[in-house]
Amino acid sequence: MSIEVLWDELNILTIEKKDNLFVSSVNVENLLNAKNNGFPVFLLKQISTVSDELPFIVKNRIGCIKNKLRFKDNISEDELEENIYDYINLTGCRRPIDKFSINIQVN
Amino acid sequence: MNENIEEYRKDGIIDLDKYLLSNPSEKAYPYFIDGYEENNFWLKVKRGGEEKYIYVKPAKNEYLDNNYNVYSGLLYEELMKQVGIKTVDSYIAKYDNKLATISDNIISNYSYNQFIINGNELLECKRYMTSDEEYNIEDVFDAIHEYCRSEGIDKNIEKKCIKDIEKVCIADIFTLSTDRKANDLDFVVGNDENEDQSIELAPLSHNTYSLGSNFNTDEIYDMLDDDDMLADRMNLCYFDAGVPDYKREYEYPYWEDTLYYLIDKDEENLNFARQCAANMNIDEAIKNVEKKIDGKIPFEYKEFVRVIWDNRLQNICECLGIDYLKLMDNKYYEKEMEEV
Repeated sequence: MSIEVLWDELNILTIEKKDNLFVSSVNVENLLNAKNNGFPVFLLKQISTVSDELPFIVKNRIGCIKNKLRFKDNISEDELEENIYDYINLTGCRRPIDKFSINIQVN
Repeated sequence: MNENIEEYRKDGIIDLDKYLLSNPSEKAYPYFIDGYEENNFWLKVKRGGEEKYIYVKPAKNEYLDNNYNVYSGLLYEELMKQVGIKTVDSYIAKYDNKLATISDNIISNYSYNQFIINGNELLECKRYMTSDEEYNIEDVFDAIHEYCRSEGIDKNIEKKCIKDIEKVCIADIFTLSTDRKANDLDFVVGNDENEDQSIELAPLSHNTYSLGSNFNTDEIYDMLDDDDMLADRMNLCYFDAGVPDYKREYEYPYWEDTLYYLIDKDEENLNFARQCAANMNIDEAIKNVEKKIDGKIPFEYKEFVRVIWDNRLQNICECLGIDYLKLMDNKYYEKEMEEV
């Protein structure tokens, strides 16, 4: 599974899930472009290259979608995994006050 | 073409249910639930001649038998206007046959490259801190300091941002707010109009847990009948992100400790607290809200708010060394002069 974090349509961070590890890599060129357009690099400074959990930028946003599917749309835990990818790609986990969006590709 | 949402305003209340029924395309927008408020959502509507997003907050009455938090949010906004603190501008709506508040997208007033990050995200950027851990107001200040240092933001901008939070905390003590945590503070970040990185406290949008809106109707009646009970319960109104441990007299962040901590820290804070005592006027706020909603705030809640407001103001005046009776005389005199 691979997760792309976009900021204002620029892919700044890619997270690959390998076994139980999340491996993060930064797209340097896009990051510098984003920085020039106001992206605060501080938000990425504490993200580990290799971690056993998702970076909080992604975790917070995906967590909200999970809650929506669980509580609002009454989707069972079995269906959750399947539905969540579609929903994340449809909405990009994006709020009107936000510039982040998230894409998920399942291998 | 969708209709203007304002056309669905009747008796001061916007009927979102009816609007959504007549404008089904709006439902198609994949709204996204705010990270921390499961019931709240964004909706794209036509308002004031343009398409914009509004933020819908249904009244949270699953734990309470009333919906006073809708009115407390509006009263809070009016009180903050009186002392120059920026808040969102909310209106009452009917959603899912219940009362709700709606407000415009705060970021639409800022430059294109600015966006909002939440106080929790700032805390989480500091590795040792997660939103589940206990933190206090100084941790929030530290996170802002780290952010400004990292982005090369001017010291004066950092100072202003921290000062604005301190002012909000002081004003929250007057309004008996009980839920001002880091995730109830938003920050506008990104490039400002001069293309420089900046950070600014965003207009406050999580204001409903204030002015005694966290009590059931029975409790409100009991408190109105029993002065001692009222005083005890009001003293328990405190914020989660309050005074640091070393300044606490009790286990929880008691409002009085937080007030002393803030006014001891800086004379500007003391002056602001005095300004709040002199300028905040609950009767004026009630009048303005009733004008805005073109209706009446429920009588028992209005009376309760007046009583708890006076109770808290008297206690704050004691802390600030202000003569409460003289203050009220001055306010009465000023009102008389205005009328003349």
